[in-house]
Amino acid sequence: MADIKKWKHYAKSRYGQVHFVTAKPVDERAIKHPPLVCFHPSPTSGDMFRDLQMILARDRVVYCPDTPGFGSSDGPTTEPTMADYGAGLADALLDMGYSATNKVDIFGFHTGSLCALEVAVQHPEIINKTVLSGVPHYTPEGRAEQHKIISGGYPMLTNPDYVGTMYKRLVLDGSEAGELEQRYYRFVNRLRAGPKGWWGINAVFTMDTAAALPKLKMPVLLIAFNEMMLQPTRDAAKIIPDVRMVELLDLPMFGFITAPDKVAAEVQKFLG
Amino acid sequence: MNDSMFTNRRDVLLGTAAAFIAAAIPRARAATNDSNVKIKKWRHYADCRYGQIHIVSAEPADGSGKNKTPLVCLHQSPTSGDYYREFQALMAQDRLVLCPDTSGYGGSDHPNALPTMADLGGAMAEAFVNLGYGKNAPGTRSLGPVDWLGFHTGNYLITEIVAQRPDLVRRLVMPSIPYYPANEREDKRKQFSTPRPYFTDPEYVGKSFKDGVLNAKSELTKERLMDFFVDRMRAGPESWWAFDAVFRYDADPALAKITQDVLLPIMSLETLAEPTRQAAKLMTKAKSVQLLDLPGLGGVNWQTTPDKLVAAIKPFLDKA
Repeated sequence: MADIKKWKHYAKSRYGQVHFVTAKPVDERAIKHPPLVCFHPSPTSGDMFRDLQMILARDRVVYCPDTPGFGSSDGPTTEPTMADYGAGLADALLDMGYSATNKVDIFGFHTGSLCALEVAVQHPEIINKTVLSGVPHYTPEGRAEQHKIISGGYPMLTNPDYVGTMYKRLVLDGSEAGELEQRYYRFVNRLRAGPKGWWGINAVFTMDTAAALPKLKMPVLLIAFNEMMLQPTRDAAKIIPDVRMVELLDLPMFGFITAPDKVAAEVQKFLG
Repeated sequence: MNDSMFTNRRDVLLGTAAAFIAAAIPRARAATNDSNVKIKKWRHYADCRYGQIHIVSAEPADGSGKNKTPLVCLHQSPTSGDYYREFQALMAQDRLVLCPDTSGYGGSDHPNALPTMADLGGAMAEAFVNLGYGKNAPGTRSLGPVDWLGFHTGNYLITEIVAQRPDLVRRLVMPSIPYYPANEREDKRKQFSTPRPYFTDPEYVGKSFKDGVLNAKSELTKERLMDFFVDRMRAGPESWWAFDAVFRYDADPALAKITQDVLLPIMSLETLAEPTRQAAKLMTKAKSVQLLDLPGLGGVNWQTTPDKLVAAIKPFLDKA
């Protein structure tokens, strides 16, 4: 495998600092494509993409930021919209020098797909191509129904059994994607986001994706796994102007963790 | 080299090094504290043998802190530099205060094998050399030494930094030194450095959270206790490694290598109050050793009454 250099750093945003885990080939002559920025689902962190990142970083820089309020990134102090999250992430990319003459590709999964959507709609000039996976695109009624399910927040400090129960379910029982150590640190990142960690999903189910998706002006790839967002992703494909769709139905929800090579191959085929 | 010579050199270096600092240490927004001094606080990384050391830094937003020697605060295990959040906010009113995470804790990369105290101290020293402190820093001219504050494990990182890179060290503040005679260390090591049963006891994490956060008898808020709990969890299955390093450490010769001025706050509620007094007797080559009794104070006072600790420590750091 090519030697990959991986490091962590911060960039500035309206909420303070955005934390990045970044990887690139040690020999920079191997870099052949624009950088790729990967936006994670809630309530996790950029570390979700660690396996995918190491594959894609063989011939490009791959940034995995922590969305504001998650991982090691500073976050909003009041409940944000998805536009707020997108703006915070875009701030960081602009702070790092990306522009109309120095573009990036972007990839997002679940909440991250809507973060990517907002970045692409707010700053199309810095985006080359967009990959969205597991897109939570619902009708207003469907959104409201989902919002009712998730609202109320994470009762870490009010329900004495919540943390222990979540730990057993997400880490120990083995049904979640990834090795034990990955599942453990994913749980830790959920704890780090705290009781406000639900703000990410709250922003998802209050975003009018029907208004935003048609605004994507660049080429878009949709990747669907065999999970709850399969149909919403198919529905999203119908309203994006320049789109192609790949369905990896042999892969479960976090397909980029269970089969990173397969997902990377599709991303590379599209991005170049 | 005496203090007045060094001060003049440092003033000159700081002027030319300002651009270097600006490039190497990105700034974040200003925070406020209870006083009228606006503090700038940001997070950054420095390279070391294990990858990167994560650091939370703070200084006066108006740049007035550049005339004082920076202070580096090294935390106990298994916490992180965030342990000093409240103390840093006050101490940073008139100087740069850096609160790094020891390798394997907080946001710092983990050692790839069970480390010794020499390994952990060496990694921390490397990070500060790479930030530009000490002699022979890479790149531009050196920013000189800093003052060091430790607490529990942090104190033995300090003794290793003193031994390995004395050019990084001006003055030392070392409350709660985990000093035990050699014949007692193995028992302590067995007591404190055992792996937590994260993957073998399904009830462990839930019970620990209830005991340490929800039901804890503490002056701290549940939110702050949760910060500490998260830091323990971030250290992961290897959270016991620093404890192992502490209780395997041959502290006697290390303490005898200190040649700087040392302040030893004796926090009466700390179990390490008497061990600190014992450690003081071994600092035979220190330029000075000052024991300062702080009755009624313990570890929690870093968070609840940091002003008392600032008041105790500042005169020592700022003396001529």
